[in-house]
Amino acid sequence: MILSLLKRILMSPYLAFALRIYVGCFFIYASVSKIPFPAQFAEAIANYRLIPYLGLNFGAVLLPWIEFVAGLFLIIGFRARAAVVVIGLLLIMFDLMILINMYWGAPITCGCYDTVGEPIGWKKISENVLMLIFTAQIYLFDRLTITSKWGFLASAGKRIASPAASQ
Amino acid sequence: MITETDNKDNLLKSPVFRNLPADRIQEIVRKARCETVGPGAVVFREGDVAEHFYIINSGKVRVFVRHNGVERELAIRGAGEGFGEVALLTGESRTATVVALEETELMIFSKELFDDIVREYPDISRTFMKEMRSWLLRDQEIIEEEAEAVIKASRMSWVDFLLIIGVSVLLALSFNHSNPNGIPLFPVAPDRSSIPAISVTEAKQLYEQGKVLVLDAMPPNFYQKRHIKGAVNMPMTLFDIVYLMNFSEEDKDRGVLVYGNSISRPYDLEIASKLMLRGYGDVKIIDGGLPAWEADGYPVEAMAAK
Repeated sequence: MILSLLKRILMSPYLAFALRIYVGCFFIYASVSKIPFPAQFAEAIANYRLIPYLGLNFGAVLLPWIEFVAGLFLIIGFRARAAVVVIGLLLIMFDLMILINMYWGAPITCGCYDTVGEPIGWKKISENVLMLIFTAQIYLFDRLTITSKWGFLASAGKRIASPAASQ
Repeated sequence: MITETDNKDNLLKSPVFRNLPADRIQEIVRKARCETVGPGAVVFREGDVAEHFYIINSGKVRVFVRHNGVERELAIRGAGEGFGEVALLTGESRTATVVALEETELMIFSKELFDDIVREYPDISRTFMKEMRSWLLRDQEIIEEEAEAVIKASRMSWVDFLLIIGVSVLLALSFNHSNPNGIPLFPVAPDRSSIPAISVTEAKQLYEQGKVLVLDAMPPNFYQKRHIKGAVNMPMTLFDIVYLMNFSEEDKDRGVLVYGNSISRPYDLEIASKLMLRGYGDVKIIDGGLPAWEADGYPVEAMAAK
Protein backbone atom coordinates (compact mmCIF):
# COMPACT_ATOMS: atom_id res chain seq x y z
CA MET A 1 0.00 0.00 0.00
CA ILE A 2 2.58 2.54 1.17
CA LEU A 3 5.07 0.98 -1.21
CA SER A 4 2.77 1.36 -4.19
CA LEU A 5 1.99 4.95 -3.22
CA LEU A 6 5.70 5.65 -2.97
CA LYS A 7 6.22 4.05 -6.36
CA ARG A 8 3.49 6.20 -7.86
CA ILE A 9 5.03 9.35 -6.43
CA LEU A 10 8.52 8.44 -7.60
CA MET A 11 7.29 7.70 -11.11
CA SER A 12 4.99 10.73 -11.26
CA PRO A 13 5.43 13.19 -14.12
CA TYR A 14 4.55 15.93 -11.63
CA LEU A 15 7.56 15.02 -9.50
CA ALA A 16 9.57 15.10 -12.71
CA PHE A 17 8.25 18.60 -13.36
CA ALA A 18 9.14 19.77 -9.86
CA LEU A 19 12.61 18.27 -10.19
CA ARG A 20 13.04 19.95 -13.56
CA ILE A 21 12.43 23.32 -11.93
CA TYR A 22 14.75 22.48 -9.03
CA VAL A 23 17.64 21.09 -11.06
CA GLY A 24 17.24 23.85 -13.66
CA CYS A 25 17.35 26.62 -11.04
CA PHE A 26 20.29 24.95 -9.35
CA PHE A 27 22.33 24.92 -12.54
CA ILE A 28 21.41 28.47 -13.46
CA TYR A 29 22.39 29.55 -9.96
CA ALA A 30 25.71 27.74 -10.25
CA SER A 31 26.39 29.31 -13.63
CA VAL A 32 25.61 32.96 -12.90
CA SER A 33 28.24 33.13 -10.18
CA LYS A 34 30.89 31.90 -12.64
CA ILE A 35 29.94 33.63 -15.88
CA PRO A 36 31.16 37.15 -14.98
CA PHE A 37 34.60 36.00 -13.75
CA PRO A 38 36.06 33.50 -16.23
CA ALA A 39 39.66 34.05 -15.09
CA GLN A 40 38.89 32.97 -11.52
CA PHE A 41 36.93 29.99 -12.77
CA ALA A 42 39.82 29.04 -15.07
CA GLU A 43 42.06 29.01 -11.97
CA ALA A 44 39.57 26.76 -10.19
CA ILE A 45 39.58 24.32 -13.11
CA ALA A 46 43.38 24.52 -13.37
CA ASN A 47 43.51 23.27 -9.76
CA TYR A 48 41.98 19.99 -10.91
CA ARG A 49 45.02 19.46 -13.17
CA LEU A 50 42.99 17.49 -15.71
CA ILE A 51 42.26 19.97 -18.51
CA PRO A 52 45.17 20.81 -20.83
CA TYR A 53 46.44 24.38 -20.92
CA LEU A 54 45.12 25.03 -24.42
CA GLY A 55 41.53 24.09 -23.58
CA LEU A 56 41.46 25.68 -20.14
CA ASN A 57 40.31 29.21 -20.94
CA PHE A 58 37.80 28.13 -23.56
CA GLY A 59 36.38 25.59 -21.13
CA ALA A 60 36.14 28.18 -18.38
CA VAL A 61 34.23 30.52 -20.69
CA LEU A 62 31.96 27.85 -22.17
CA LEU A 63 31.09 25.53 -19.28
CA PRO A 64 29.03 28.01 -17.22
CA TRP A 65 27.03 28.90 -20.31
CA ILE A 66 26.26 25.24 -21.03
CA GLU A 67 25.03 24.98 -17.43
CA PHE A 68 22.92 28.09 -17.92
CA VAL A 69 21.37 27.10 -21.25
CA ALA A 70 20.70 23.48 -20.22
CA GLY A 71 19.15 24.70 -16.94
CA LEU A 72 16.96 27.19 -18.75
CA PHE A 73 15.81 24.66 -21.36
CA LEU A 74 15.01 22.22 -18.58
CA ILE A 75 12.81 24.74 -16.78
CA ILE A 76 10.89 25.98 -19.80
CA GLY A 77 10.55 22.46 -21.21
CA PHE A 78 12.20 23.25 -24.52
CA ARG A 79 14.32 20.27 -25.63
CA ALA A 80 14.10 19.26 -21.98
CA ARG A 81 15.13 15.66 -22.53
CA ALA A 82 18.38 16.58 -24.24
CA ALA A 83 18.99 19.26 -21.60
CA VAL A 84 18.63 16.75 -18.79
CA VAL A 85 21.04 14.39 -20.54
CA VAL A 86 23.58 17.22 -20.87
CA ILE A 87 23.19 18.03 -17.17
CA GLY A 88 23.55 14.36 -16.24
CA LEU A 89 26.74 14.06 -18.26
CA LEU A 90 28.11 17.23 -16.63
CA LEU A 91 27.37 15.80 -13.18
CA ILE A 92 29.14 12.54 -14.04
CA MET A 93 32.11 14.54 -15.35
CA PHE A 94 32.24 16.68 -12.18
CA ASP A 95 32.11 13.61 -9.95
CA LEU A 96 34.87 11.88 -11.91
CA MET A 97 37.08 14.95 -11.72
CA ILE A 98 36.50 15.26 -8.00
CA LEU A 99 37.08 11.53 -7.41
CA ILE A 100 40.38 11.58 -9.29
CA ASN A 101 41.55 14.58 -7.25
CA MET A 102 40.43 12.96 -4.02
CA TYR A 103 42.49 9.93 -5.01
CA TRP A 104 45.48 12.18 -5.60
CA GLY A 105 44.82 13.84 -2.28
CA ALA A 106 44.74 17.24 -3.94
CA PRO A 107 44.03 20.04 -1.47
CA ILE A 108 41.61 21.89 -3.74
CA THR A 109 38.21 23.53 -3.49
CA CYS A 110 35.27 22.59 -5.64
CA GLY A 111 34.88 25.76 -7.67
CA CYS A 112 31.29 24.71 -8.17
CA TYR A 113 29.52 27.98 -7.36
CA ASP A 114 32.17 30.57 -6.78
CA THR A 115 35.90 30.90 -6.61
CA VAL A 116 36.20 30.42 -2.85
CA GLY A 117 34.06 27.31 -2.63
CA GLU A 118 34.01 24.36 -0.31
CA PRO A 119 36.72 21.70 -0.35
CA ILE A 120 36.06 18.63 -2.45
CA GLY A 121 35.08 15.45 -0.65
CA TRP A 122 32.43 12.78 -0.20
CA LYS A 123 29.83 15.42 0.68
CA LYS A 124 30.22 17.01 -2.73
CA ILE A 125 30.23 13.62 -4.44
CA SER A 126 26.99 12.56 -2.76
CA GLU A 127 25.33 15.89 -3.55
CA ASN A 128 26.15 15.35 -7.19
CA VAL A 129 24.96 11.73 -7.08
CA LEU A 130 21.63 12.86 -5.60
CA MET A 131 21.34 15.43 -8.37
CA LEU A 132 22.17 12.68 -10.86
CA ILE A 133 19.30 10.59 -9.48
CA PHE A 134 17.02 13.59 -9.99
CA THR A 135 18.09 13.86 -13.61
CA ALA A 136 17.44 10.13 -14.09
CA GLN A 137 13.92 10.57 -12.70
CA ILE A 138 13.33 13.46 -15.09
CA TYR A 139 14.73 11.49 -18.02
CA LEU A 140 12.52 8.49 -17.31
CA PHE A 141 9.24 10.02 -16.16
CA ASP A 142 8.95 13.53 -17.56
CA ARG A 143 6.17 12.82 -20.03
CA LEU A 144 4.08 15.74 -21.14
CA THR A 145 5.91 18.93 -20.70
CA ILE A 146 3.63 21.29 -18.82
CA THR A 147 3.90 23.91 -21.51
CA SER A 148 2.67 21.54 -24.19
CA LYS A 149 -0.16 20.55 -21.87
CA TRP A 150 -1.27 24.16 -21.62
CA GLY A 151 -0.90 24.54 -25.34
CA PHE A 152 -2.95 21.42 -25.85
CA LEU A 153 -5.81 22.64 -23.65
CA ALA A 154 -5.86 25.99 -25.34
CA SER A 155 -6.03 24.44 -28.79
CA ALA A 156 -8.69 21.96 -27.66
CA GLY A 157 -10.88 24.79 -26.40
CA LYS A 158 -10.68 26.56 -29.71
CA ARG A 159 -11.50 23.53 -31.79
CA ILE A 160 -14.47 22.45 -29.69
CA ALA A 161 -16.40 25.64 -30.25
CA SER A 162 -17.02 24.79 -33.88
CA PRO A 163 -17.83 21.36 -35.36
CA ALA A 164 -18.68 18.92 -32.57
CA ALA A 165 -21.28 21.12 -30.96
CA SER A 166 -23.19 22.40 -33.96
CA GLN A 167 -24.47 19.62 -36.02
CA MET B 1 -39.16 33.40 -15.48
CA ILE B 2 -39.12 31.40 -18.65
CA THR B 3 -42.52 30.45 -19.91
CA GLU B 4 -43.68 27.22 -21.45
CA THR B 5 -43.77 28.88 -24.87
CA ASP B 6 -40.11 29.83 -24.56
CA ASN B 7 -39.31 26.25 -23.70
CA LYS B 8 -41.24 25.05 -26.68
CA ASP B 9 -39.37 27.46 -28.93
CA ASN B 10 -36.09 26.19 -27.53
CA LEU B 11 -37.03 22.58 -28.19
CA LEU B 12 -38.02 23.43 -31.74
CA LYS B 13 -34.57 24.95 -32.21
CA SER B 14 -32.83 21.93 -30.72
CA PRO B 15 -31.48 19.50 -33.32
CA VAL B 16 -32.82 16.60 -31.27
CA PHE B 17 -36.46 17.58 -31.19
CA ARG B 18 -36.67 19.74 -34.28
CA ASN B 19 -38.59 17.15 -36.31
CA LEU B 20 -41.19 16.22 -33.70
CA PRO B 21 -44.85 17.29 -34.15
CA ALA B 22 -45.72 20.54 -32.37
CA ASP B 23 -48.37 19.04 -30.08
CA ARG B 24 -46.01 16.34 -28.89
CA ILE B 25 -43.38 18.98 -28.10
CA GLN B 26 -45.98 20.88 -26.09
CA GLU B 27 -46.56 17.74 -24.05
CA ILE B 28 -42.86 17.07 -23.56
CA VAL B 29 -42.32 20.60 -22.36
CA ARG B 30 -45.10 20.17 -19.81
CA LYS B 31 -43.45 17.03 -18.44
CA ALA B 32 -39.93 18.50 -18.30
CA ARG B 33 -38.85 20.70 -15.43
CA CYS B 34 -36.61 23.74 -15.52
CA GLU B 35 -33.70 24.57 -13.27
CA THR B 36 -31.21 27.44 -13.16
CA VAL B 37 -27.66 26.78 -12.04
CA GLY B 38 -24.99 29.35 -11.24
CA PRO B 39 -21.53 29.58 -12.77
CA GLY B 40 -19.25 26.79 -11.55
CA ALA B 41 -22.13 24.53 -10.51
CA VAL B 42 -21.62 20.86 -11.30
CA VAL B 43 -24.58 19.41 -13.24
CA PHE B 44 -23.25 15.89 -12.94
CA ARG B 45 -19.95 14.15 -12.44
CA GLU B 46 -18.15 11.37 -14.27
CA GLY B 47 -19.26 8.11 -12.65
CA ASP B 48 -22.63 9.42 -11.34
CA VAL B 49 -25.76 7.36 -11.89
CA ALA B 50 -27.54 8.77 -14.95
CA GLU B 51 -31.14 9.91 -14.36
CA HIS B 52 -31.72 12.90 -16.66
CA PHE B 53 -31.25 14.32 -20.10
CA TYR B 54 -30.66 18.06 -20.45
CA ILE B 55 -31.38 20.77 -23.00
CA ILE B 56 -29.78 24.18 -22.45
CA ASN B 57 -32.27 27.04 -22.61
CA SER B 58 -29.69 29.72 -21.98
CA GLY B 59 -26.11 29.89 -20.79
CA LYS B 60 -23.12 27.64 -21.39
CA VAL B 61 -21.71 24.44 -19.92
CA ARG B 62 -18.33 22.77 -20.18
CA VAL B 63 -18.06 19.00 -20.74
CA PHE B 64 -14.79 17.36 -19.69
CA VAL B 65 -13.19 14.17 -18.43
CA ARG B 66 -10.43 13.86 -15.89
CA HIS B 67 -7.65 11.40 -16.48
CA ASN B 68 -4.63 11.01 -14.20
CA GLY B 69 -5.44 14.34 -12.64
CA VAL B 70 -5.42 16.14 -15.98
CA GLU B 71 -8.64 17.62 -17.37
CA ARG B 72 -9.47 17.00 -21.01
CA GLU B 73 -12.15 19.24 -22.42
CA LEU B 74 -14.63 17.47 -24.66
CA ALA B 75 -16.98 20.30 -25.53
CA ILE B 76 -18.53 23.63 -24.64
CA ARG B 77 -22.31 23.51 -25.15
CA GLY B 78 -24.60 26.49 -25.49
CA ALA B 79 -28.31 27.38 -25.83
CA GLY B 80 -30.44 24.88 -27.77
CA GLU B 81 -27.93 22.07 -27.41
CA GLY B 82 -28.38 18.96 -25.32
CA PHE B 83 -26.17 16.73 -23.22
CA GLY B 84 -26.38 13.67 -20.99
CA GLU B 85 -27.77 11.25 -23.57
CA VAL B 86 -24.80 8.87 -23.70
CA ALA B 87 -25.28 7.35 -20.25
CA LEU B 88 -29.10 7.14 -20.70
CA LEU B 89 -28.75 5.30 -24.01
CA THR B 90 -26.09 2.88 -22.83
CA GLY B 91 -27.52 2.44 -19.33
CA GLU B 92 -24.10 3.03 -17.79
CA SER B 93 -22.86 5.72 -15.41
CA ARG B 94 -21.86 9.21 -16.56
CA THR B 95 -18.83 9.24 -18.85
CA ALA B 96 -17.95 12.91 -18.38
CA THR B 97 -18.40 15.82 -15.99
CA VAL B 98 -20.53 18.85 -16.85
CA VAL B 99 -20.00 22.22 -15.19
CA ALA B 100 -21.92 25.44 -15.86
CA LEU B 101 -19.68 28.21 -17.16
CA GLU B 102 -22.20 30.97 -16.50
CA GLU B 103 -25.73 31.22 -15.13
CA THR B 104 -27.42 28.50 -17.13
CA GLU B 105 -31.07 27.57 -17.47
CA LEU B 106 -31.55 23.85 -18.08
CA MET B 107 -34.60 21.92 -19.22
CA ILE B 108 -34.44 18.56 -17.47
CA PHE B 109 -36.03 15.36 -18.79
CA SER B 110 -36.44 12.31 -16.59
CA LYS B 111 -35.05 8.99 -17.74
CA GLU B 112 -38.63 7.68 -18.23
CA LEU B 113 -39.63 10.60 -20.43
CA PHE B 114 -36.39 10.28 -22.42
CA ASP B 115 -36.99 6.55 -22.95
CA ASP B 116 -40.60 7.21 -24.02
CA ILE B 117 -39.51 9.77 -26.60
CA VAL B 118 -36.80 7.49 -28.02
CA ARG B 119 -39.25 4.58 -28.22
CA GLU B 120 -41.94 6.68 -29.83
CA TYR B 121 -39.71 8.40 -32.40
CA PRO B 122 -36.97 6.04 -33.57
CA ASP B 123 -35.70 8.82 -35.85
CA ILE B 124 -34.44 10.64 -32.78
CA SER B 125 -32.14 7.71 -32.08
CA ARG B 126 -30.38 8.47 -35.32
CA THR B 127 -29.72 12.03 -34.13
CA PHE B 128 -28.33 10.67 -30.88
CA MET B 129 -26.17 8.22 -32.76
CA LYS B 130 -24.66 11.09 -34.73
CA GLU B 131 -24.11 12.87 -31.45
CA MET B 132 -22.34 9.87 -29.94
CA ARG B 133 -20.23 9.54 -33.04
CA SER B 134 -19.03 13.11 -32.51
CA TRP B 135 -18.05 12.31 -28.91
CA LEU B 136 -16.16 9.30 -30.19
CA LEU B 137 -14.30 11.40 -32.73
CA ARG B 138 -13.38 13.87 -30.03
CA ASP B 139 -12.04 11.03 -27.86
CA GLN B 140 -9.96 9.80 -30.73
CA GLU B 141 -8.60 13.30 -31.33
CA ILE B 142 -7.55 13.55 -27.69
CA ILE B 143 -5.81 10.19 -27.82
CA GLU B 144 -3.93 11.18 -30.94
CA GLU B 145 -2.92 14.57 -29.58
CA GLU B 146 -1.75 13.02 -26.35
CA ALA B 147 0.24 10.33 -28.11
CA GLU B 148 1.83 12.98 -30.27
CA ALA B 149 2.73 15.08 -27.24
CA VAL B 150 4.30 12.07 -25.54
CA ILE B 151 6.35 11.29 -28.61
CA LYS B 152 7.37 14.91 -28.95
CA ALA B 153 8.46 15.13 -25.32
CA SER B 154 10.39 11.87 -25.42
CA ARG B 155 11.96 12.25 -28.80
CA MET B 156 15.52 13.41 -28.60
CA SER B 157 17.93 13.81 -31.44
CA TRP B 158 21.48 14.97 -31.96
CA VAL B 159 20.01 18.25 -33.22
CA ASP B 160 18.88 19.02 -29.66
CA PHE B 161 22.39 18.56 -28.32
CA LEU B 162 23.79 20.60 -31.14
CA LEU B 163 21.28 23.32 -30.32
CA ILE B 164 22.18 23.40 -26.62
CA ILE B 165 25.92 23.44 -27.30
CA GLY B 166 25.52 25.89 -30.18
CA VAL B 167 23.47 28.37 -28.17
CA SER B 168 25.94 28.05 -25.29
CA VAL B 169 28.97 28.66 -27.52
CA LEU B 170 27.29 31.66 -29.11
CA LEU B 171 26.37 33.21 -25.77
CA ALA B 172 29.76 32.36 -24.24
CA LEU B 173 31.76 33.92 -27.08
CA SER B 174 29.66 37.08 -27.34
CA PHE B 175 29.53 37.56 -23.59
CA ASN B 176 33.24 36.96 -23.12
CA HIS B 177 33.90 39.48 -25.87
CA SER B 178 31.90 42.22 -24.14
CA ASN B 179 32.80 41.21 -20.57
CA PRO B 180 35.41 43.59 -19.08
CA ASN B 181 36.75 40.53 -17.21
CA GLY B 182 36.89 38.50 -20.42
CA ILE B 183 39.88 36.24 -21.04
CA PRO B 184 41.70 35.18 -24.22
CA LEU B 185 40.11 31.94 -25.40
CA PHE B 186 43.21 30.18 -26.68
CA PRO B 187 46.29 31.74 -25.04
CA VAL B 188 49.64 30.86 -26.56
CA ALA B 189 51.55 28.57 -24.25
CA PRO B 190 54.84 30.08 -23.02
CA ASP B 191 57.88 28.58 -24.66
CA ARG B 192 59.57 26.20 -22.27
CA SER B 193 62.86 26.21 -24.17
CA SER B 194 63.26 29.97 -23.64
CA ILE B 195 64.05 29.49 -19.96
CA PRO B 196 67.00 27.39 -18.83
CA ALA B 197 66.15 24.20 -17.00
CA ILE B 198 68.17 22.27 -14.49
CA SER B 199 67.95 18.65 -13.38
CA VAL B 200 66.94 17.78 -9.84
CA THR B 201 70.42 16.44 -9.09
CA GLU B 202 72.03 19.74 -10.05
CA ALA B 203 69.32 21.63 -8.27
CA LYS B 204 69.99 19.60 -5.14
CA GLN B 205 73.65 20.58 -5.24
CA LEU B 206 72.88 24.29 -5.53
CA TYR B 207 70.21 23.90 -2.86
CA GLU B 208 72.69 22.36 -0.45
CA GLN B 209 75.21 25.11 -1.03
CA GLY B 210 72.48 27.46 0.13
CA LYS B 211 73.16 30.02 -2.54
CA VAL B 212 69.86 29.85 -4.37
CA LEU B 213 66.35 30.93 -3.57
CA VAL B 214 63.86 28.12 -4.29
CA LEU B 215 60.43 29.32 -5.41
CA ASP B 216 57.29 27.20 -5.40
CA ALA B 217 54.99 28.67 -8.09
CA MET B 218 52.00 26.46 -7.33
CA PRO B 219 48.81 27.89 -5.77
CA PRO B 220 49.07 28.22 -1.96
CA ASN B 221 46.87 25.19 -1.20
CA PHE B 222 49.26 22.90 -3.06
CA TYR B 223 52.28 24.58 -1.47
CA GLN B 224 50.84 24.07 1.99
CA LYS B 225 50.28 20.40 1.33
CA ARG B 226 53.89 19.71 0.32
CA HIS B 227 56.85 21.66 -1.02
CA ILE B 228 60.62 21.51 -1.24
CA LYS B 229 61.95 22.16 2.24
CA GLY B 230 62.65 25.84 2.70
CA ALA B 231 61.03 26.89 -0.59
CA VAL B 232 59.12 30.17 -0.73
CA ASN B 233 55.63 30.16 -2.16
CA MET B 234 55.26 32.62 -5.02
CA PRO B 235 51.95 32.13 -6.82
CA MET B 236 51.13 34.56 -9.62
CA THR B 237 48.39 36.24 -7.58
CA LEU B 238 50.85 37.12 -4.80
CA PHE B 239 53.81 37.90 -7.05
CA ASP B 240 54.29 41.52 -5.99
CA ILE B 241 54.08 40.90 -2.25
CA VAL B 242 56.45 37.93 -2.32
CA TYR B 243 58.77 39.89 -4.61
CA LEU B 244 58.98 42.77 -2.13
CA MET B 245 59.73 40.42 0.74
CA ASN B 246 62.36 38.24 -0.94
CA PHE B 247 64.11 40.17 -3.67
CA SER B 248 66.25 43.24 -3.71
CA GLU B 249 67.05 45.48 -6.64
CA GLU B 250 70.81 45.34 -5.87
CA ASP B 251 71.17 41.61 -6.22
CA LYS B 252 69.98 40.81 -9.73
CA ASP B 253 72.50 38.01 -10.13
CA ARG B 254 71.05 35.96 -7.34
CA GLY B 255 70.37 32.38 -8.32
CA VAL B 256 66.67 31.47 -8.42
CA LEU B 257 65.19 28.01 -8.90
CA VAL B 258 61.52 27.81 -9.81
CA TYR B 259 59.29 24.74 -9.89
CA GLY B 260 55.57 23.98 -10.11
CA ASN B 261 53.91 22.83 -13.30
CA SER B 262 50.71 21.03 -14.22
CA ILE B 263 48.95 19.95 -17.36
CA SER B 264 46.60 22.92 -16.96
CA ARG B 265 49.08 25.66 -16.21
CA PRO B 266 52.84 26.17 -16.46
CA TYR B 267 53.10 28.09 -13.18
CA ASP B 268 56.90 27.81 -13.16
CA LEU B 269 57.27 29.35 -16.62
CA GLU B 270 54.95 32.23 -15.75
CA ILE B 271 56.93 33.15 -12.63
CA ALA B 272 60.34 32.56 -14.18
CA SER B 273 59.66 34.72 -17.21
CA LYS B 274 58.24 37.50 -15.05
CA LEU B 275 61.39 37.48 -12.92
CA MET B 276 63.56 37.53 -16.03
CA LEU B 277 61.62 40.53 -17.28
CA ARG B 278 62.52 42.32 -14.05
CA GLY B 279 66.18 41.78 -14.84
CA TYR B 280 67.11 38.66 -12.96
CA GLY B 281 69.68 36.77 -15.03
CA ASP B 282 70.08 33.52 -13.15
CA VAL B 283 66.61 32.04 -13.13
CA LYS B 284 66.27 28.31 -13.73
CA ILE B 285 63.44 25.85 -13.75
CA ILE B 286 63.74 22.56 -11.90
CA ASP B 287 63.08 19.87 -14.47
CA GLY B 288 60.33 17.54 -13.30
CA GLY B 289 59.47 19.81 -10.38
CA LEU B 290 58.36 18.51 -7.03
CA PRO B 291 57.49 14.94 -8.14
CA ALA B 292 61.02 14.36 -9.50
CA TRP B 293 62.52 15.98 -6.41
CA GLU B 294 60.51 13.73 -4.14
CA ALA B 295 61.21 10.65 -6.24
CA ASP B 296 64.93 11.15 -5.63
CA GLY B 297 64.27 11.27 -1.90
CA TYR B 298 65.21 14.91 -1.40
CA PRO B 299 63.77 16.83 1.55
CA VAL B 300 60.22 18.12 1.43
CA GLU B 301 57.94 19.57 4.09
CA ALA B 302 54.31 20.42 4.67
CA MET B 303 52.73 23.69 5.84
CA ALA B 304 54.13 27.15 5.31
CA ALA B 305 57.85 27.62 5.80
CA LYS B 306 58.60 30.51 8.10
